[in-house]
Amino acid sequence: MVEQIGIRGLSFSYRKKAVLSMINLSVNKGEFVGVIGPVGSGKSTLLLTMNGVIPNLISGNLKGQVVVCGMDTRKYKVSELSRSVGIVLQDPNSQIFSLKVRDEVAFALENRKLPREEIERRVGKYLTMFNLLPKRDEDPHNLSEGQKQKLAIASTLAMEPELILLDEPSSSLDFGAATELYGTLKNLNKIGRTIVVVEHDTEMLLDNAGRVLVLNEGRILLDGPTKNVLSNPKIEKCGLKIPCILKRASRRVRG
Amino acid sequence: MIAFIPGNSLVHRTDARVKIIYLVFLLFILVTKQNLGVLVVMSLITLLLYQLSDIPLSQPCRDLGRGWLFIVIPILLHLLINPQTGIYRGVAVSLFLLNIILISLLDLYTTEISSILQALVFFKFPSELAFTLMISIRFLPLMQEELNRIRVSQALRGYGLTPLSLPIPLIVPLLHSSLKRAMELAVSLESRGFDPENIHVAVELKLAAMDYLFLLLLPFLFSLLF
Repeated sequence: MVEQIGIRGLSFSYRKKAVLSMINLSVNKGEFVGVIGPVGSGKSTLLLTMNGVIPNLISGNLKGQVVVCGMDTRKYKVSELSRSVGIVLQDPNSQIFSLKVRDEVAFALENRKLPREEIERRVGKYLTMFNLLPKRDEDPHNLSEGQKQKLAIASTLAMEPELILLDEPSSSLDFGAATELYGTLKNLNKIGRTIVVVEHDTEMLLDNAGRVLVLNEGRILLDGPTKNVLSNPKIEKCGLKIPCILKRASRRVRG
Repeated sequence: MIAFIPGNSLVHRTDARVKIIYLVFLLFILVTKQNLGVLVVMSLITLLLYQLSDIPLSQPCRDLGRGWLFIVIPILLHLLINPQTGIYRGVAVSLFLLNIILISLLDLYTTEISSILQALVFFKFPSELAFTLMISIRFLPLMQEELNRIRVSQALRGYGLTPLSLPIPLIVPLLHSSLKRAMELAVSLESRGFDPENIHVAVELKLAAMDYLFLLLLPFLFSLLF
């Protein structure tokens, strides 16, 4: 198994406030990992350490080592790491800046200086994947919140990175669109892409992720196969929800 | 909102570099020749350019909102300071400001931001600055929207902006959201391979026959206005 993410002894504090404490984590190529935890548990911060934004763009006190796709995040620029790691942030309004939907998807590809035909091919492919092709010449800021979220995801997936990080990607999507998105992620996972997704919807993770991490107060509380973790009563103590289907199953076993 | 307005007018079709040359030329004339005669001619040129661009003059009126007060205030101030000749100086200053604003806005209304960026890079403008400028222009309408949202939410809590009150309840949330957005945008751009020291612009600008014609007209205009 090839290790895609190797985090050893990671601690991060920001303005004297400890956000992550002694995180040790290994994610292999082709895994689909869900990260859950209460608000302020350090989920998004953990994600930002995986693509080098911490410590390259957001400074703070970082201890330990993060190696992603064979690259130590301290030694590479974020733009260099982006060749292998793609990230979708939570708020699409902060990411989208182009004047046309098409240009937003093409942005990362142009930065990589890909040939024009390849850019056009990928733009068409990923806009079609998220039903945005008819909107290709529209201003992205006129799209609905759900469509903006899809556009932000499409612009990251178009880079075709080995490792895809997503921060609550379904937060502004309706159930149908979220299921569709997870279907796409699952297909990408099947062809070998590694996926790490921060998510509050445990039901969605139950159907899609192979492994789940629970973060609480900056520490990994649980780590293991999805069903085992999501049926553990400890997650309810953190204010998280055990998926209904697992709760019913455990009641039946007890009964 | 101050943003590109798609169209197919003569001004829209003019190359972004030619438009920047004209913008600089007209601003230069405005700054160096501040007599009323030249200012009236400049105002006519500005009106003609708006006519050619199919952008109604009501557009900058809407976009500037209360900003128009800054154009009217010089007339009142000059009248107060010097009632005999003040009107002449006041009108000159107001026309000067009016032309600068209208010409700059016309460039933004008729040129796509990516083309402005390409043109600035062509003129050896530092690429980081050009990109920052482009992003600022892009986010201007969004900041206006944000300000309106904040104004409504503060009004719902009984806040009303009066000429004497400090707009702190509007400025603080706007600054906070702008800084947050700027930080997240920086993260998102770099995560998509953007390197500020090595900006690659995919749009290619090409000069058409019409653009050459406009460039040839420039010396004629120069001799007319100087």
